Amino acid sequence: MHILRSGTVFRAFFVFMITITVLFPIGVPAAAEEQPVPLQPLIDAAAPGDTLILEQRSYSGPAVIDKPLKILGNDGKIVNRSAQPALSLTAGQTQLDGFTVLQLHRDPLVPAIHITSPGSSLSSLSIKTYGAGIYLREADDITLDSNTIVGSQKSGSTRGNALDLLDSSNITITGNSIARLQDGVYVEGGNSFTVQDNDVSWSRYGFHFMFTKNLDLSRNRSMSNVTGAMIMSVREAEITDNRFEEQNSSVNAQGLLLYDVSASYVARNSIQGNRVGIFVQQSSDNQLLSNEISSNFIGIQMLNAEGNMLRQNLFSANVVPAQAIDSSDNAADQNYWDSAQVLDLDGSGLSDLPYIVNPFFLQITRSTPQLQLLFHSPGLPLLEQLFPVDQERGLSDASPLLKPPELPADANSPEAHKGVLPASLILLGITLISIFNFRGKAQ
Amino acid sequence: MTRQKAMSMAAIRDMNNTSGEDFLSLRAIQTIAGREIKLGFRNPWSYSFMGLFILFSLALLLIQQQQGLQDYSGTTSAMINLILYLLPLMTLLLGSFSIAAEKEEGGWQLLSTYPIRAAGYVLGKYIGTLYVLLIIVAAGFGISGLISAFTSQSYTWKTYSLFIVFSCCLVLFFLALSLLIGVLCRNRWQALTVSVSVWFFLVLGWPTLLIALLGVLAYPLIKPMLMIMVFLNPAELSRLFLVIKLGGGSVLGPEYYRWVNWMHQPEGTLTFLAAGLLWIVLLLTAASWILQRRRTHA
Repeated sequence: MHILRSGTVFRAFFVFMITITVLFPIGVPAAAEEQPVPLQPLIDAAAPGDTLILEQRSYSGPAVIDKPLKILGNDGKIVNRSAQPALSLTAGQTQLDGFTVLQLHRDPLVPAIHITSPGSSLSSLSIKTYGAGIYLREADDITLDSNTIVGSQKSGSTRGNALDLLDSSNITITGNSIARLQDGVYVEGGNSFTVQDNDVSWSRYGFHFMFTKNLDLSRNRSMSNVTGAMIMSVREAEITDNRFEEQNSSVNAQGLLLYDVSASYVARNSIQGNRVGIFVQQSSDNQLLSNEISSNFIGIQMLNAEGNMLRQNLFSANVVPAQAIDSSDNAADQNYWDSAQVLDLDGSGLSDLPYIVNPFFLQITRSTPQLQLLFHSPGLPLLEQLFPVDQERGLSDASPLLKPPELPADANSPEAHKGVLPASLILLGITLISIFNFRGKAQ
Repeated sequence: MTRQKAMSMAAIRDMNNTSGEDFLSLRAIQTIAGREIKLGFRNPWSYSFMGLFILFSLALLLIQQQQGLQDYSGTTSAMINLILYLLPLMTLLLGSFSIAAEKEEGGWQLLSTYPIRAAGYVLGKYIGTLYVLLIIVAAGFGISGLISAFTSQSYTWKTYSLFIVFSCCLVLFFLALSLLIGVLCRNRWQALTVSVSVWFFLVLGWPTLLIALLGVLAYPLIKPMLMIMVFLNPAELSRLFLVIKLGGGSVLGPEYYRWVNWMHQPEGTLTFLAAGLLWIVLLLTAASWILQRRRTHA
């Protein structure tokens, strides 16, 4: 018995030793390889104006850059697990270029990079964050160019904003690519913004501007967000050549939202496949020119919007082209409406019949939202015709275009759809067999 | 007329020739359905409806030069409404006529003298007419699908299949209703009048009726009442189901956020199918019961 028991102990010890010897050599070097180098000492060691070149390895944050520096990444990676931003720029005149930042702390109010000083430029950074992306707090003269910011898969309120700017002026935001965050570009206050060629998808709002001055929003693309661009309390903005597409999954979705916007210029935007293409509320003296508004559930919706100009816009294949209420005092003419009845007596290319937007359905759904269930019900046209249109409250195009205006050609080529052809052939085959079989047979 | 009667006779002969008990009237159903299919394919009405359906689906395809047929857009919504105008009316007329005509011409009286149960008769009629109607749908989608495959404004596979399912559902639901109308009406004139009124009530006048009715209801009752009404109208239920499956559910607004999400999932499909099946079973049962009652009381 005694011998047997000591043998069991010995065997257990033997197995344990083997396990240790097998596992240890794998575990130790792996840990050594993963061990990131702390970044802060490197920054502390550098003199102001120095260039720090990151190697192709991991560095650990957080770090505060309190002197003008140039940090160039050589595919280097900064990993930050703390509740602080991975990088805080407090001194200004800093240049960050070409590295990856991983912000692993899950807090929507903690950004990967926090900038509180002027004159910096961030380019070609790749930021993966469980919190927010880049915060600018009263930081002027900043350039954010060609960065990629990606948030977590988990949707909802745990996401932060990708670019979050508060009271910052003279900002250039170009060529950034943003996905899965709260707001792509969120700007509150400040003056002079150039926002061009950015791409935001799968976020809440693509572009969100409040109380900003001198905004140039052009050539951006917003796709599959709740709202493409939300512009609120802004004057004299230029919103041109953007693409707002597929904002249609949320019940509050729209391509472009203008609220309390005045004297702005909205032109040549392509607005397709949204729940509401352009939503205009309490906005006045804006020019909406040459926009392409197609395949939206509702093309344009105007509430209490007065004194705006709508011209040369193309409305096609929207379920309902326009809904308007208390928006009679807008100058709308020379737009193309694919559902308009047109009559051109003098050959001017403009219809002599106005296109009148019927406010009936918007009126009843505003007072009883439950009736939205009847949206585009087959019996609605009949009902709408029964009620005379109150021209004082609605929107009407004085002279619609007969032909759609020339717009830049769409790159979308018709794709071949497999399945439709064989299916239709099978259906036709069954039809013909049935007809000949049952019709032709003698009694 | 004489041909119909002759066919009825032939049908009865078939049944009598085969020996053994007709369990659950399966053989009667089969015979009546077969006869209905033959009659349907010799009925000029079927071909004019088929022509109409093909013509309109093609016209719509050709008018929309701008966009392909995909998702919920102006093109697909116009298509939905066109189908809702045409298909229920076609179904109601063909279905109610198939029974009303036989009553008018004496075919039913003749059949009544034989041991065929009313349920078997109604079910046979349902299956037979259904086949003819589904072939009309197949012809319409076959030709428009074929043409769309060779032009730029093509269907996506998802849209195409959803539209076919939508059309078939409309036919299934409205055919059950049409047979009840046929049973209730004495002749074709009556059936025509009732069918058109029912179509107007369920398709064209529906929003007017609902808005008028809900205007007098207390505010909290509006939504539950609307939901009940939707499930009572197969045209509206099918339309909303298709809109949601095409990804257009968000247009119904925050009020229906949860319902739309539910319907978008497979469980929603099951709910829709169960509601549809219940509708068909109830109407066919009512039709057979009334027919049987009138036969025994006549």
